[in-house]
Amino acid sequence: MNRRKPVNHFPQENSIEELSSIPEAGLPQADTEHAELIEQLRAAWSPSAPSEATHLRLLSLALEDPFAPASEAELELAAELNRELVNLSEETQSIPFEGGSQLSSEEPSTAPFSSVFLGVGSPNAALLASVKAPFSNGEISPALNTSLIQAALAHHSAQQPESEAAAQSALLTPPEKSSGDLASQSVVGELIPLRQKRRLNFGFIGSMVAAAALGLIWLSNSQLAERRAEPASLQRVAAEELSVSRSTSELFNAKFSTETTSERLDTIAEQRARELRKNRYASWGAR
Amino acid sequence: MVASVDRDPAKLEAERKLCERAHQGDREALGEILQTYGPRLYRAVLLPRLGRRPLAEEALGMVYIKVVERFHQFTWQDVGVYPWLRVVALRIALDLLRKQKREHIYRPRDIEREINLVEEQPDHTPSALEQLDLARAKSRVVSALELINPRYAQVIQLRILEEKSREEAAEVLGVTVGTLDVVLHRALAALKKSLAEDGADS
Repeated sequence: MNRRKPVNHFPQENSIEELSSIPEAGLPQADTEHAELIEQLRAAWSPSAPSEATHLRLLSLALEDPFAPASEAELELAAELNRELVNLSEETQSIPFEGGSQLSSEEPSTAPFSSVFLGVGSPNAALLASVKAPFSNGEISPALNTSLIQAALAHHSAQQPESEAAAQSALLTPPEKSSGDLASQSVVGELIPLRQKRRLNFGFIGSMVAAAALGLIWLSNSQLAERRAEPASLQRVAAEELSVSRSTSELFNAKFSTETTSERLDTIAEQRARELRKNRYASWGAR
Repeated sequence: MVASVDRDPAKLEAERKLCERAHQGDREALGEILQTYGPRLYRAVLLPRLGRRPLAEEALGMVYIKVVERFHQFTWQDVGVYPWLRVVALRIALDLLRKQKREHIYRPRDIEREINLVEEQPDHTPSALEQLDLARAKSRVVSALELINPRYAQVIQLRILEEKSREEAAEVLGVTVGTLDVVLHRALAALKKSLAEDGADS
């Protein structure tokens, strides 16, 4: 009788190493909804010792006595820190550092305390400022904000090519009317800056040149067409009065000697030349 | 001037038109957008992450310049322009934090994580994002204080966050004022060390 072998769903001994390499196997890392559960599973399956740094930190927390007697150096540094904070408080002309108000961590502070810390440069105070900042009243003055915006817009204008900046400034500033520009204003509109007018003038001249070139091309084409059409005109005149090509038999009333060809050809050539001249004169209207 | 857009269709449409004008090169419209949202970027994104006012103001100026230069790349979406501005501000803050040599509550990787989570925010309204940014910044401070001795965290809480006087804080801790000064100094040193170690681990 065949009994089915039971299936073991638990990892075998040789698969522990595979499980320990889960991070490299591409399982979801932190910031996923299952990260916490995965971390718990790993910790339960293969618990590991804390890192040395973490261990030292925990030992330090446990063994350190915050209220242990201070050394001379510590007393000096503590006094220096306190003087620094008090001086900063006096410089800001705010409520003295000593008399701070109650501050809820849920609501921004409206007390000037934050200004003590938030404009400082010493390492200690800078660190305290970064601690304090999320709990402070972080309003920027409207005047400073406006000046920053204007600076950004001006910075961008300076970075742009002159032509683009002029075009954009024309969108924001009213046009300056001058008598010399009245003609161009009436043509191209008041909002178009001078540089753009120059562009338009250049474009106008360019288009005129192009039109002239097109005219020349058209004229030359028409002359060429006339020349090509010359035979047709000649045929139209010939139909009425021009000589037509014909057989040369009528030129010779008598039989000519075949042994002497030059006289015959000269006669034909002279006749054809005469007819050609007549035809040309006729086509030219000179007859 | 348009108010912040909090899912009000009319205001959203007004902002869309304003952005369209700005997209076409209207500096006045772009200035209006910055005027509307700049202070919020300052108090919710920049100052809580950079800590110091001069640095945050410098950052805001950099954000404005970046926005003016890159606004042609902005594509309108139905959540308004603030989420885009916020990402610009986060990136500027990230750049500045990377240049910082001093110990700081916020680390560059914290902001990198925030930038990566931008698409996963359930609510993109400016007020919701502001609350989220402020809550994260406070949470970051709390996390940093959890790494140091509870007594040190307490003295920082009393003197810095709650702004209690030396005498009041000393009374709460049951020590003299002189001892309180020493403890505050030690608390700062412990916080610096903890942040340095935390930064080295990252």
